[in-house]
Amino acid sequence: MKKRVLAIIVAVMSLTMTTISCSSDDTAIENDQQSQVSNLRLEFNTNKITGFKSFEKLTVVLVELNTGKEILADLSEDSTKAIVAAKGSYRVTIDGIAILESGDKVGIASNSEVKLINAEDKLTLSLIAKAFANDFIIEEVFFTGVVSKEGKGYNSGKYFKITNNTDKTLSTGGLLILRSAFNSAIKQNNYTPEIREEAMPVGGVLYIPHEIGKEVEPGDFIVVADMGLDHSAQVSTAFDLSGSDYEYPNMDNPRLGQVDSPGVPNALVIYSEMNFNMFFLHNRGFESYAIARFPEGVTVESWLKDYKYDYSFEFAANGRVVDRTHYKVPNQWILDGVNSSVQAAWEHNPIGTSVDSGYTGVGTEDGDPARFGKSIRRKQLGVMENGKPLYKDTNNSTEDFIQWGTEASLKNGIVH
Amino acid sequence: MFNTISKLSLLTFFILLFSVISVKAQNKKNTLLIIDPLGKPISDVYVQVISGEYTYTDLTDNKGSAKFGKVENIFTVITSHLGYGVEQKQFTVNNKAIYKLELIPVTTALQDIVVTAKEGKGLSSSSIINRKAMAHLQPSSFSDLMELLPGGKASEPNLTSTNRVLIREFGKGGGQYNTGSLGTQFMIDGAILNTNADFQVSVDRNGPTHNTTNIGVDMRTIATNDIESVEIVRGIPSAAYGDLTSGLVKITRKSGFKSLEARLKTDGFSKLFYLSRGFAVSATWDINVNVDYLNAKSDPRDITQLYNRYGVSIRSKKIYSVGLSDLSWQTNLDYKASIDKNVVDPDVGYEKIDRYKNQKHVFYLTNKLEQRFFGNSFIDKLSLQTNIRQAVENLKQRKLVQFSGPTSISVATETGVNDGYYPKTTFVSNFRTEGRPLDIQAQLKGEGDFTTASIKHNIEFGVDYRYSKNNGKGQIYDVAQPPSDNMTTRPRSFNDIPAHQTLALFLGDRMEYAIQKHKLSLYAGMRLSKMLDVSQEYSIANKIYAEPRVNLQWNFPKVIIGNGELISGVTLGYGELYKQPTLGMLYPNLQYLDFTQLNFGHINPDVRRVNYMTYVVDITNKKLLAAKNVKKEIRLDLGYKGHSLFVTYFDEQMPSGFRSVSNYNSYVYKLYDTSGLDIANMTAPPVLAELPYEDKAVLMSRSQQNNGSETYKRGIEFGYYSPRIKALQTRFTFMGAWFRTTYKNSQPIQEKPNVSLAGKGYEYIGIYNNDTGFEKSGMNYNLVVDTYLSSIDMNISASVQGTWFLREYRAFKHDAPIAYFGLDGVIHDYTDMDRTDTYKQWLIRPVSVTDNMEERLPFDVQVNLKVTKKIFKSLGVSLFVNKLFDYYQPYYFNNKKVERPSSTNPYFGMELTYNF
Amino acid sequence: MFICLWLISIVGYAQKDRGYFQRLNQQYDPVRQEKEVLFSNPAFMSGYSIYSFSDFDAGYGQHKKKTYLLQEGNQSKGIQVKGSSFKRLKNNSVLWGEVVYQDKQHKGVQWNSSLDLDYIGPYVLADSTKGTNKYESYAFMGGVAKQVSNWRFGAEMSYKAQMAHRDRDPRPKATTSDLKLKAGIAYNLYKDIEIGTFAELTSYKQSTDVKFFNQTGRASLYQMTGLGEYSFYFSNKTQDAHYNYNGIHTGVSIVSHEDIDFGLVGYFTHGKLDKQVSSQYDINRLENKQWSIDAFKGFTIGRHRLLAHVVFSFFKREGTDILYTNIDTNLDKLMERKAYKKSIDYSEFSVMYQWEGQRDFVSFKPFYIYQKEQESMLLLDRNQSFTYGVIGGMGEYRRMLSSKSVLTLSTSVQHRAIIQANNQLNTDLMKPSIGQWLESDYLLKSSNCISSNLSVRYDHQLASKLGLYTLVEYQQEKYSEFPVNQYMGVRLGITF
Repeated sequence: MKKRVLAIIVAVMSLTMTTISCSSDDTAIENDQQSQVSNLRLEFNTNKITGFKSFEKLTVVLVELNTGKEILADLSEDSTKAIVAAKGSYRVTIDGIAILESGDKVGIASNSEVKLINAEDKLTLSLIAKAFANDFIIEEVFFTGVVSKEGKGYNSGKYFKITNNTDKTLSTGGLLILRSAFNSAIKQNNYTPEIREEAMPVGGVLYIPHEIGKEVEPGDFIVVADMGLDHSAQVSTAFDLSGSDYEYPNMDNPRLGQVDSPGVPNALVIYSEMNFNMFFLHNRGFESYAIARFPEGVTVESWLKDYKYDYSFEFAANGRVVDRTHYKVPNQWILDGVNSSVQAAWEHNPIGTSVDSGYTGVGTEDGDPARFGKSIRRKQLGVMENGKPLYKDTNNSTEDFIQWGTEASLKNGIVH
Repeated sequence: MFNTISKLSLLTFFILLFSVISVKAQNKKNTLLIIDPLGKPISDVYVQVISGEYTYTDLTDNKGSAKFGKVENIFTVITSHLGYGVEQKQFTVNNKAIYKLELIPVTTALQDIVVTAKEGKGLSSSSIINRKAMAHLQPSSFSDLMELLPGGKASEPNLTSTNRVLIREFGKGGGQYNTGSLGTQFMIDGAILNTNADFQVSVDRNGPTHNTTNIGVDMRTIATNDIESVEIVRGIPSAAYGDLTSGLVKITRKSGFKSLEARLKTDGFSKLFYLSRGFAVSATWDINVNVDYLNAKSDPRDITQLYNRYGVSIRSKKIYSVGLSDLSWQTNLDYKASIDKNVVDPDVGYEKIDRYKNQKHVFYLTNKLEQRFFGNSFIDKLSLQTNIRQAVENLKQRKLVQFSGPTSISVATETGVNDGYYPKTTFVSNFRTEGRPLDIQAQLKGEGDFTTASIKHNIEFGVDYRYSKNNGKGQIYDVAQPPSDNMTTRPRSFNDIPAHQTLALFLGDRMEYAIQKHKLSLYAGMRLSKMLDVSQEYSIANKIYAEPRVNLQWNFPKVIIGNGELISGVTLGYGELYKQPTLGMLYPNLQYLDFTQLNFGHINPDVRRVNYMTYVVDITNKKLLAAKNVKKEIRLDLGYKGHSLFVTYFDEQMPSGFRSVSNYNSYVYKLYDTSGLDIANMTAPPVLAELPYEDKAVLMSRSQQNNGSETYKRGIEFGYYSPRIKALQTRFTFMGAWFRTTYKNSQPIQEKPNVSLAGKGYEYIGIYNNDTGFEKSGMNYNLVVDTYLSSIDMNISASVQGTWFLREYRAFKHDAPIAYFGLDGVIHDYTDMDRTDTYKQWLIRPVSVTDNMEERLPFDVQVNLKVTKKIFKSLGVSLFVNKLFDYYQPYYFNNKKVERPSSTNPYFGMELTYNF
Repeated sequence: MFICLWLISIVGYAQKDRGYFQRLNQQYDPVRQEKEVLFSNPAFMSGYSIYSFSDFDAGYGQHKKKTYLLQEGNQSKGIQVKGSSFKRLKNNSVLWGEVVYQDKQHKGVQWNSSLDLDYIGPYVLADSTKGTNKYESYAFMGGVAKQVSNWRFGAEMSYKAQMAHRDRDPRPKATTSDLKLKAGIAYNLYKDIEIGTFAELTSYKQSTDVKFFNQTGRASLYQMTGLGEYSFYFSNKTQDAHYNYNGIHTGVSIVSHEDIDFGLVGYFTHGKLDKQVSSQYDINRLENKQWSIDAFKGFTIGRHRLLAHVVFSFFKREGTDILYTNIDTNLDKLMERKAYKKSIDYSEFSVMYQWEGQRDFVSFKPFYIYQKEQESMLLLDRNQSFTYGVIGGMGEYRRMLSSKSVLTLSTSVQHRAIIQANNQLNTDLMKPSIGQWLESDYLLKSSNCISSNLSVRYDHQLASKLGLYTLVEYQQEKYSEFPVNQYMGVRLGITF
């Protein structure tokens, strides 16, 4: 009996020998290139653009989440043309110009996302008309601060540069400077209620009272600094902002010990999510800024009473719900806005698409050591009749701003 | 009762080599051969031969033989060896001059090898941990032993931050609930580690802190290598112990003859080294010396946080026999250093100026005189224990300070208007805290016994005086160059703070009474304690605290079941315990609030002026009392043929734990308006009188200690020990506990929302019912399977432990306050109308739908493996792996599945031990 | 009689006089080391040797490499303490165990913040800075085997934990734990022919996280996915990687020692690894399969022994990428796709000659190895493949100097010739630093190499059971037109 068992064993062994030799040249089907690609067809819903006739210009940008690959497509001639892209999860940004029945032209934009997992995919986008307020625009925001010779961060000497990009003089009285409540690098799970397409959630609001308003010529600008003094006296690498038009020093927190320069009028912090009226700019630029004006009949008191924004969001990891309270400013009141973040850290835009459909920022990596001393600045389109610079404003800061930050313009003091 | 303490003698010893040489003249003709039950010779046995006035000593060589000289016809031989214990035998002289002695190895008694904590069978529930369990556990510091308590779980050592002790409670304690760890007392050889005079807090509030003030003993400073046994009393201690609420840790260290012992441990975080030797200087005098060193990092990559612990201890014990009694005099001299050092990391990107070094050098001198009487007089034992502990604590720090803008600071020390001053925006600030706590304890204790009508009374009585004072120079820094720009304190010296003195008298009687086979023992004790020379303004000044302690144990008669006897007993206990407030709570530092009245930062420096209104606030709470804890427990003990089981239900209520509560007051100051000044051509700083001003008021909080923290602990502790089953040489120990711990604030709290509206500070304070209290209840389990293979002297143990379930429930947090007050301090109820007021709507705290939701964590398990093995004579290798395997069951919260991935970070290490 | 003959030793020769020289020959028997694959079935350990022996040594080694794969670094030095013992107990059962502690430094490591590249394949957490890794490893292994009439049973458990970290930015810390449980049985079928089978389960975990101490800026990290590719999203968003590998390794063997002296072992290994980041997102999966056959035939003529040994093995590894989407949720799986493939064909032919005299012991083994390695990315046309032919020889000469002292010399030389090597890496599409890394590794893998090794060991007997030994070892590798790599090691130990 034992011999027979021995024979079977030897047979089994020889069988395994053969399988080994033949399986070495793998014949498994290659994943053919074809099944990894998808054809995307876009449909445009234009009911928000009254009197829409046709597209003059229609460009589409697809950015894949996992690989970071970018795909550009021009659908100006035929908006139903299919776009070929590898499968994946894409962010879709539409920018273009529409021709109305009346022959006028209006800027159009839309942001959306799409999962390309099958061979054929479809996405409907509702286009939004870009609103231009023909008023002040944000030309530059310097939020990174500087690094002293000894290598330590100096967190003051930050400013907003607001420019009159129109052809008439404007008054700064009643101007509001808004800081977003949401952080562009942290996207929480289902904000309820989600209001960004109607209003901007704000974490801090500066207000220039009418009493200290001043007239600004076309092409001229004003500087609103945290402390309007010569910071280079404190730290050699900081800037001389003694010529600022307005400042917002914090006199309420006794321990901050900030200084109120007598010559520079103070903007009022009418709301801050922080105690002691503290209004700080995030030094890696993960927030968005906007300027606005109260419409007729709305005062600081009535805004504080009626525009509180209570919302909640959910932590995906453990299902906890968090309640938060901020204030909101309706998008119609906003004159101009800019989203800021860093390409590597961006998750979502804190401002609605109609105000700014893209985003800009300083540096390409989170915590980029070279970001200090740089700011986000608008591209110059051309020159006005009076020789002053004319800036580009298509409500898409990816196109309108010099990408990933440049030297701050007030590096050597304020020169009008 | 013949004195059973062995009499050993050694003629000379070398300090460095710690080796033993026995020198005895006279001609060596007798030999003694020492063998084990298998006839194998035993080397290194310490032999002493006494006959009449001749005494000889020798050490057996590897043939097991020892030599000695002329003796009378009858002589006694006393042998001592680690593995064979102490034996004594009488011989009569024979002509062959060769005598044989067989020794039975101590370790063959397998049953008593216990590698876990053994439950005390005494009157109060306690865990006893012996030398073998500690050697097998391979701990780095005392905090690793806490795993062996019922409900304990292993955790990675965290040797670069304070390890606070937690007994019978879930949660991490900390925050407002520190009284549990402050109220646990540590005693080493009878000397208590007094933390009442600990002020070691850094001047820089937001710098690194290894703070132990008001937290109690830091367990990482206690090494375990020289400990013989530890008794952790979780229940109600006898009246002889006081100034504690939660538990008592009694550590007894090694004494008596011990050959050279060494231990070297390495794991991912730390390296530990230990060397010790016990000498028998004369028959009645032993000296034990040991050296102990630990070096640890929190994370091997983080070279900024280093912790070093050094320990040298010399302990002597001498026994004098005087007539019918003997007097034992024990002296311990200890030096311990614990140094936390933070170095600036080379990569931090700026010049290496910051330094942090927190050194604590502590010198202990303990003396214990114990007189024992053997006649049948009432007094059995009188003991006087005196301990002196002087610590030299230096916390030195240096920091590059760069203000975030041109900054002004106030240097006033009294309330009133003062001109501040502009420091440079960048400077190096040197600051330090010097503490010199001195603790003296003296305890006289007597024990006696008498019997009346078949009840045996064991009386213990005595007086316990404790003195602790900090004579350090305190917090010192140059006011012009402070470590940060928001200083709320000023330099302060500790030596003008009065001493913390308590006096306590205690009397206790343990009565034993047996009828038929029932055995009853009842302990009733009372401790009276009072703080001495506290000024009369304090309500604690003449408070006498009475602490009754009662424990009843009823052992039922043995019941024969099958071929074994069932032993059973019930123990009940009730006790009230008080923890006196520490010096830090009674004499807190003054708080300085500076409000900027004028900040005229002109370009030209000599026109510049800054003016403050400073308030100096005394935050002492004169009505602070001791924290009281009422402990009740009932325990059932069962034993049957080597199996033993205990189940304890306990209920501890501490309504008056210490907590620092912040309440708000409004402060008034003037805000000067400089807009009217002619800035351009000013030559002198503005004069306050000439400037228009506006009266401003702001609400600022100050924190004060009070008895507002409530910790309510209930639970069931259980443990089962199996006998060491012969076939597998394995013992099963299943230990666990269900705890329900409620942490609550017992007085309403005040909170101010973090928002600024319309350019003004927020002007209302809400009074809310509940702070973030929470209730945690759950069950932990720990099954230890340990196998001892005597053939290769190897001990393997696997422990399967984890949490069976854990429920965390936040005390219901209302979003609306019950009342509020404004700048005027008048308290109003909070009505619905206020919910829509522009400003008062912000008093509604954001309480989300899940804040008050109960979170139920299900089952998790973790497997730890430990191996200790002798590889060559008494050279041993041991190794351990925690989290060899772990699994955390996912759970549902707010109907969302929450995955809990298994951790992929096992904690592992190895040890090389010699004779340990 | 039949049973006791068979019982004597699986290695096949009884030994009458047990002098110190003979015991060393027995303890370090090269033929048994050649049949190592047989003892992967723990049941056969009961016939490993009829004598108990243990050794305990501590050693220091330093390996300076001028030509090296960037992920391995250019220098490694450190200490090792090792104790191993084999103990024959009375009742026909054996115990064996080993304890190893290592404390090393690897300098010049680049593109590699993780450990055990053989386990985690291409899915490394990498950064471009060159750093020095401090490395510690703790390992222990214990086994028991018993023989009951015709059956043999055996079980073995081994655990290895490693930790490596850097203390300059960027600072990875990698911790690994590798648990293997093995059980085997064998049955004496006919005369001394035995068949045996065993199964080994492996559970391996590794977690790596990177910290930065510089407060103003940090270098970028890459979650690599093979041949220069990396996950864009997760490389910027995460600074940790957690690996879980579970595998089974089974084998069947048929062996005879006495008369026919032949052995045939076939084994199959199958393992799966998954990689998680920020301890919740699975981003890669790896599946390994390996088949292998060992055959050996022994001849004993008087004092001469010959052993022919043939190995054929085929290894296949496939990697899967998992893509995510954050459209209307936080972050959820979108799809999976196979993206990476690697295969290795390996075959080895060797003959060992061994001769033992009264005072001399000689063994010599020439061998030939043929290996074909292919690696490719499935979605991008990017691949590389190498085919080697290795000819070499190993020899050992042990001389009894006196009844108490023995000298052992062992040496080996091998020449690796490249039969074919080609690649298509299109490194111009990559980040330049990653491109240079791939090209420098390819250059090394595709060049010929001559490596040689010499070691001298002196044993001295102190007591009947106790011997002291010192060992000095020198190793050299010379890649064509590249500078030489050198290794020097020294060990001091006791045998008892």
